[in-house]
Amino acid sequence: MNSVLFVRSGNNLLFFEKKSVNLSKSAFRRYKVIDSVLRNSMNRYPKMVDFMEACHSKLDFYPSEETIQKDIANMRLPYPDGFDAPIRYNRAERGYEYTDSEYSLLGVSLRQEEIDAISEAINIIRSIGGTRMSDKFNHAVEKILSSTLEKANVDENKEPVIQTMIPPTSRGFEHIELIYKACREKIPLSFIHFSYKKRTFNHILLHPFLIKEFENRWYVIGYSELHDEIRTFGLDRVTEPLFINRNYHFIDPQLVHSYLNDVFGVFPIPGAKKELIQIHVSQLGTHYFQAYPLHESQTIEKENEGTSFIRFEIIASVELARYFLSQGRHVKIVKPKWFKEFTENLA
Amino acid sequence: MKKTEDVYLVNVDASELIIKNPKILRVLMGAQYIKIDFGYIAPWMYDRGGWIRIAPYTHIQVHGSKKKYALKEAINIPLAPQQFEFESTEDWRVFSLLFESIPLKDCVIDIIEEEVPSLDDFNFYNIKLKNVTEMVLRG
Repeated sequence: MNSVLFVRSGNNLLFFEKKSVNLSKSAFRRYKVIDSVLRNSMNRYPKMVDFMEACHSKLDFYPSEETIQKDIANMRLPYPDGFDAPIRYNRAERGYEYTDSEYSLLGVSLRQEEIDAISEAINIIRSIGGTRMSDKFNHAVEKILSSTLEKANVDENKEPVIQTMIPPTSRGFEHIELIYKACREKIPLSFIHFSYKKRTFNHILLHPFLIKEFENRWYVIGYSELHDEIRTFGLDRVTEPLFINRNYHFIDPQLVHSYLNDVFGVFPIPGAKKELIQIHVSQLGTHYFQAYPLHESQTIEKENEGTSFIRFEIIASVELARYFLSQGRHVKIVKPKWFKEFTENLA
Repeated sequence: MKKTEDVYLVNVDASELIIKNPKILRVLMGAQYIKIDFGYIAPWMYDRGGWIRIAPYTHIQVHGSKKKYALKEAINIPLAPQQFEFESTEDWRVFSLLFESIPLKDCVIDIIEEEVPSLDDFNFYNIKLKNVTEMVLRG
């Protein structure tokens, strides 16, 4: 069993890394014993001998007084060299105590297979994500793992056995944490937006509710005061977002649900509603649609020769139209008529 | 009560401006500074979009006062004689100018780069700042 180390100081939960707090397994086990003795409410001011006896009882060895003194001194050291443990010797009571009753040094155990599982997850996320989002997760998990006494076997030198397309970090992605917080905590945003197509700048006041990734591009979706409707903005065109202290414009949850589930892509065609979209697909195209469904609502009705009619219950989007166009002769839009014309006009 | 570290998003009406490039996009006012965000589109009439820079003696004047509020910092735009060269007429740039703080109240300001401006200088007149009430929160 390995241990992950957390230290609680007031309301803060601190994680200690193995690199910073370089201690041996036996020393760490003694620290846990010392911590438990100090938090024993039946003996508020334990003496040196209490620590030594507790070690003897729990660890099956009798440390010297000098060892315990060194341990306490090490525990007192400020982070990152020690654990910031507020231990002091109370002369009046002739014993030791925590001066901050909220402080505790907790050991959380992870079995080797659990560490292995987390390591695998890190590797997969590395392969799939490759973005700062996964880096952040990666860092957090590795931080926990690195504080185990035996470091997890995350082998940096091993070649990955899963590879996905990992694009370089894009412009605007540096704002993702701020925008994520704005979505989660319902905080309106002010930012400057540049439209590539119209070549215009605007100051946008957005009440965001969703961050969406599509084809390795990141978007924020919310109610735009300027446009008085829900709009989608590419993060690459967002400059200097700021939180604004104004009332958040809540969006109908049904609409949010729809954006989450009924849109292929990020830019629904203005005025489009969820409706039946039907395409006719070649034999070859049918194989691919079968293998890689475009949307959860996709149903396939095959014809004798292997061609098919494929239907979706979906809100038509620009991306959907472009995707169908990119399939060339393999896909023909059957209905609705307006979407067929829209797509033909894009060509 | 307005605290010294508070920053406010100001409604800006620059509709009377003749110069639309750069465009004034956002004004933030605090007790320490006034920050004006601009968007600039590289114009087609210059080869490869030309260049931009700002004179270090650019200042703000508040209507009804002769006091000049000096430029403290330029972000994303070099101070003259340095200049930023665009690479094409499709390029664009957001830049910010930070000036000494002006009184935290509704007012009309001019931004003066050159007292006797040419068409290329970044002079802006009659910018109306209203509703200095909306606080900007820190991330």
